Amino acid sequence: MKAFWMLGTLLLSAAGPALRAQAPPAPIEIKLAHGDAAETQTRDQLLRLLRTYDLNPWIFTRTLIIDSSPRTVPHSHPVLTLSTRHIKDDDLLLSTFVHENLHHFLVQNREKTEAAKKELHAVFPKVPVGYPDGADSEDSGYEHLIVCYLEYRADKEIWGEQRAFQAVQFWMSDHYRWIYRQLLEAGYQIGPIVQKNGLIPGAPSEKPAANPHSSQ
Amino acid sequence: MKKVYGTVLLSAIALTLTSTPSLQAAERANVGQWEFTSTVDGAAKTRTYCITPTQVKGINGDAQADQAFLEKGAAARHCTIKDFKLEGNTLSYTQVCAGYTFSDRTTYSGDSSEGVLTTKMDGKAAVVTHMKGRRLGACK
Repeated sequence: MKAFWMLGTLLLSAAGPALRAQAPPAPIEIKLAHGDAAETQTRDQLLRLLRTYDLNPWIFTRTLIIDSSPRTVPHSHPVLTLSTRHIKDDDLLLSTFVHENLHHFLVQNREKTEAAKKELHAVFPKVPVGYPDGADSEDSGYEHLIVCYLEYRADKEIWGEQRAFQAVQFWMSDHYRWIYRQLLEAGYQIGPIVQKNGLIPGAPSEKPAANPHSSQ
Repeated sequence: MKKVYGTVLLSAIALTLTSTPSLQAAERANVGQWEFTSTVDGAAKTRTYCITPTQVKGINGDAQADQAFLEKGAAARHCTIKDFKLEGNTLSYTQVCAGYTFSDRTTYSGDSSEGVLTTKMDGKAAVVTHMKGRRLGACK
């Protein structure tokens, strides 16, 4: 891809609850893959949302790319990348932004994540693999049960139950369909596992695992 | 699985459309295309739904039926309904789930509704959603 980066930065003015005892968060660096109108609009939309809501509890990477290429699927690694698909829907853009950040959160808490995935495997011995119901692999399916649960939880904290439910309803008909459906049908089973393993961002027990071999 | 999913969907619609005995002679919620605008912290979001006769059955029942309907939907998510109340044209209840509660207090008429929904996650500040609904016409 041609290296044409448009750079936008946002200095978040206030630290979120999870970061209160730490230094102010670093700026978020937003790069545009092509610098076209759709990417610029999505960047401005995201910056507006970051000003409107305190998303610090769910930000775990400070660099992201917005890419209008038709084949772009939002992803977390190596660099969080968003598409321009949700220009007309703030809630879905914000939900996607949080979702991809949560993957970084799980990488930063790898041991806890693996423990939670193991427990989820016991509850859900089989998970679908592949679009549109599942993730790319079985392992990724279990990780997405955690990520999507945390995404729904974050949405509830940001907008409340009703709008969070609407977002989940949309995703249930779009992608990871089986996974999102589990949030409604089996959230009562997923939640305690996520919580027990210390994977609630900002919760008092939440601390990155003391793992010298962690990728962070 | 599909049955539970359907129940969940109906439950969500019921959260915004359940009405009062005083309107029972007409309809609490008329079938058709509805538009709901929810506002949180000044940011509004509008979505439309087609409310079908089957769904309205669970909405236009008597108080006991409405409560039972909500309780059934909540139970599917391992939640409970508390403080169910009908006062004039206003319905209120609280859905209690593991880790959070969701309260709804809404005033209704057959083709419109207006209410306040409050989500309280454990250890977090409450999120207040102002919700306005109106019937647009027949389902598209």
